[in-house]
Amino acid sequence: MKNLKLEKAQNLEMWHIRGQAAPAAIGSLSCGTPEMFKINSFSNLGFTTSTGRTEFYLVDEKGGSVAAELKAKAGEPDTFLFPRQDALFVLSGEGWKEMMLRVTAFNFEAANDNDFVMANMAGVSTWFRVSSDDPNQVLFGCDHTYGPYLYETLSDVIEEVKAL
Amino acid sequence: MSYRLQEQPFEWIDRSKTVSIEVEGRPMKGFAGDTISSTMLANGVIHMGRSFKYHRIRGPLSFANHDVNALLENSDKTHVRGDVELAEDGLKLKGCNTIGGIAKDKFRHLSLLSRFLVVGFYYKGLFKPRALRPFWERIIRESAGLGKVDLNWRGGRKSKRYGFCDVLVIGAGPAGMAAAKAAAESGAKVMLVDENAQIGGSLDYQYANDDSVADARKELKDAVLNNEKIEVHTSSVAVGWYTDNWMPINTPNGIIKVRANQVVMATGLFEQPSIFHKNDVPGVMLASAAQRMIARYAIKPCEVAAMVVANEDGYRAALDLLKAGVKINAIADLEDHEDRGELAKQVKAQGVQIYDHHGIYEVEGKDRVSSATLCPLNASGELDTTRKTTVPCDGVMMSVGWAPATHMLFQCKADIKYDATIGQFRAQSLPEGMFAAGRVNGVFDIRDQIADGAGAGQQAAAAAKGEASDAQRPAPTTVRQSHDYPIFSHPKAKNFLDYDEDIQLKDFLNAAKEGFDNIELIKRFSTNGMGPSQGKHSNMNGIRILAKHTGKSIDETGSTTARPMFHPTPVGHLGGRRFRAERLTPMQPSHVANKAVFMEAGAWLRPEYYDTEPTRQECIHAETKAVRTGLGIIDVSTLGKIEVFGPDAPEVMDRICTMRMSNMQIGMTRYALVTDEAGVITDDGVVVRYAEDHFYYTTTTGSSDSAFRTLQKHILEWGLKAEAVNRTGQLQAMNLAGPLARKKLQPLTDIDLSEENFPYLAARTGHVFGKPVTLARVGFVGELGYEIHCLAGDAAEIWDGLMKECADVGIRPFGVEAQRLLRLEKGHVIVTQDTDGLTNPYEAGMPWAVHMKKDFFIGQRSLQILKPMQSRALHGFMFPEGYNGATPKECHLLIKDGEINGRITSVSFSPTFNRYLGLCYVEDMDAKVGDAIQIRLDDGALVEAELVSLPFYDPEGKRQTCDVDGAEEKVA
Repeated sequence: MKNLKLEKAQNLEMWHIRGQAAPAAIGSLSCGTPEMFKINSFSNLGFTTSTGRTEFYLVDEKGGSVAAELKAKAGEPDTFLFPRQDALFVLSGEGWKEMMLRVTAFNFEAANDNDFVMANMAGVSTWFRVSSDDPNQVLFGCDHTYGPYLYETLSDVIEEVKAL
Repeated sequence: MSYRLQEQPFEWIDRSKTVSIEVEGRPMKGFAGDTISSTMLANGVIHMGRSFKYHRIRGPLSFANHDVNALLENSDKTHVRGDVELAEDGLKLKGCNTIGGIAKDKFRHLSLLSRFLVVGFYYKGLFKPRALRPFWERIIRESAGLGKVDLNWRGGRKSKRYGFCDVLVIGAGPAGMAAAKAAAESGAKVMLVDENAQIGGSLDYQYANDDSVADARKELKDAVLNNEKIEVHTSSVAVGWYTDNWMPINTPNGIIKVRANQVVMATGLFEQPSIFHKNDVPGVMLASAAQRMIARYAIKPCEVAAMVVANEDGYRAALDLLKAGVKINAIADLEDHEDRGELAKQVKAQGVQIYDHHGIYEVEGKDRVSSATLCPLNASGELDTTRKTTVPCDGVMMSVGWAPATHMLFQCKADIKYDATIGQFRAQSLPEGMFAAGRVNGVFDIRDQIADGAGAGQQAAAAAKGEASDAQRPAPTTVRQSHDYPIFSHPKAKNFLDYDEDIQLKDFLNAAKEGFDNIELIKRFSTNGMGPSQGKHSNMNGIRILAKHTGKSIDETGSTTARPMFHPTPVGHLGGRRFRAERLTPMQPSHVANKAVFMEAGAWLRPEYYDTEPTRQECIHAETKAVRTGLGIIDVSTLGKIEVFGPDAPEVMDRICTMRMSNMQIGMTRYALVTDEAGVITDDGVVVRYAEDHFYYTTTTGSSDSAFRTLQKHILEWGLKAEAVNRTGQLQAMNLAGPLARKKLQPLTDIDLSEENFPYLAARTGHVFGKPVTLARVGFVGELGYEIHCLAGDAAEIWDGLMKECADVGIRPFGVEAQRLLRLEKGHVIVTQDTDGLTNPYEAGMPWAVHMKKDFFIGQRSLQILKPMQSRALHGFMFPEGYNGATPKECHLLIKDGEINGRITSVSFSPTFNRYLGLCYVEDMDAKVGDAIQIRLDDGALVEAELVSLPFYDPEGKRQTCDVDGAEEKVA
């Protein structure tokens, strides 16, 4: 766990898509329709996922093409787009799953490939993009207002495990 | 004299490294791997502590911390468990629960008063006279407790972590190691936990000299330590079992919260003492303790021993003692040694005198045992004290039976019954996901223990995969291992049942005679098993005594409930790393730069006020003045923010709020009051209508999550076509308030702020500083104001921009306290401050917010019933100008004719009115404006105030419609 690194992913934007027409809107994007609670990756960290029949998330690089496709759907009937504004982080390095055992009850070792995981981490509701393409890193996000606390807390834990 | 033996085959000490410790000023040397107790013994010190009640001198009993005879302390730790904690170089310790040290404890003669200190004496003897109770209470409190707490202790938290495995094996003795090996070889991920510093369990101390198990030992240890599928944790205690095999493991580095698919309990047994006169004198110990001393630490327990035995293990211990050079003067076998098998013959062959059907009646010796007196047992199992045989000895070893470590099996609701054949409790059936193996399962033969563990491991591994297993398990032994009643009375008592609590046989019997004939009741009354070792060495004997006294069977008598924690667990381990989630708005840096003093509001940190004036009150008043006369800005990002949309969104909002929302015009706002099914006010906020099918709804700070959950639940229950999104953290909000609000904001936005385009209670979307926003003209503080709702990523820029662009008119950020005062002047209610868990809208003076003509809203039926039943009402009140008495406070009571007649919910000194004003409930529906009320203050004084109409400030609401009185121009 000596090479663990926590970074703020500030070059990403995240969208929450809701509404009866949301599945059609997502289905029309070039990235394709994601499965429920599965990651549908379309770039390095960009992905879509579904968390309900009419609920989707999209993460893309700021100004990314898929996000642009999505934004063009704004205003369409029964399609509601909400910029999530989540605090986004990338934790990388071998042993990140081991480090996670200190902050969340979720067992990442037992996660399936490309799961979209939602779990409580250090007291904060957090989602995780676990990708088999990137076994040594995880992208995760939480409510914007918890961002400073989570970053500080995780940084402390990382320092602690590095010292072990 | 050296107490250290030659090197033992499986000793835990590293003779190449010495350590030095100091106990009560006496320096001692030991080896790395020595415990504190073994170091003391190696240095000829057998006095390890004083007992809790009578302060009797105590030596090693279990040598495994199944008693607390060796409990010490230092400045870092209140309790240092000498039997199991390592002697670390430089450690300085002193005895626990002594005044003047272990040797010269001032209370060392207290047992002379034991006839007055009977069980429960403080319930009886100290009850009268009543006037002396405080005196006795002080004495008892000063005497009670073990160890002195350092009030300057700084925490010492150990981080917790989570762990997952297919099979968790508790206990790394022969059965546990075999279970771990078998499970891992079946493909399971295994965690093996043992409280001892090294794996091996009884193999390495009870069977250390048994060459027949050498191969099995090597095979098991190699397999466990070299299999990457097995994670081994030594010096680690499974402290409890919780639902779904959720088990905290307390390790030296903190607690691991393990979720195990399957659990194998290979927890073994605790050896139990025989009860006889002075069985606590140093030198009297369990036979397994002597074996631990020899095998683990190469300590010779004594020079000359006497033993009392009731099983084959006693003879195995005798052989170990003989091999260590201890002379055994006598063995009292409670039954017949001919029934013990080969080991007894070997002992006898070495010339040891064995007394069949004998027990130990008493021992002599003050600081250390000097002799033991044996008596034969008669047909009724009692000692015939007319025929005594006294043998000199400096050690007495007891091997009369065992109690299984079934604590966590009880916790997981295993069906545990007393097996009279073996003489111990044993699980008859186990819940799914739980296995028991080895001696805790009644399997005693060492080869059977290993086979039982292996079978359990295979079964657990198969169960983890959802498969059946045909693994064979040996049957429990049919040889009795524990004597039915190794307990002997003595006219001089001092025959201890519980060493932790100094409970003698007569104490326990007297408690039973007093009517405490239920095992749980007698435990509480007598305190048997309530000391730090929690009955590990006393519970089984207690059950046997009570069963005999009541004439019931062991099963009928039952066992006490074994609750977590299995061993005392440091608070710093339970606490773990502190995860206290904290929410900050993006404006936090600006608040800090403006000298905000923060307060907690749920998980949020909010500016209470900005520290710009000499006193807190002056800060608050200056902020209030800025809003009333110029311009202020407050961060209200903590409001809950929920969007509701879909074809049935209007219906949802109508059902959630007491006011009708479906008739609201697009681009308008409306006050939102929410009640529960009982008609009690639970929340309030503002609803904005964006579109026919789209609403934006704010909640009070702290209730956003519960409001959202309630909304989601009802949408599903009602089957309406609507959806809700909680945007509390995504959106931030600030309120720009004051007569200059419009004048200063207009140049910064593309929204037309004119009264015609943007009237009071309207909402508009557009941009501020080019950032997308929703502006809402609401007036919580009673002045012209705009709530600016924006994306979190834009909030800081907008806030800082407003501060900069409005600096020319002296804009001030204002905090929660100024806002509370401003809204109080305006007579606005704060939900949960001016309401309580019973308040309905009629009591709170808000009948205007309840639209009964709607088809339905939550709480409607209750409010229909409650409406004619009001018995209290919220009023405004004012103190006379110039009042300079004690400060009135929230929750001060209203008094009328000597009776409580209401209470204050909000009160503050208003600089606008130059007097105290506030809100209060008056429990008199005839109370009216102009009436005098009496308020009882902290000092008991009654002061008079007057009920006045609400709002106090700007009753016509002109200030919120701006330009009135030329306020903007006046300030400009």
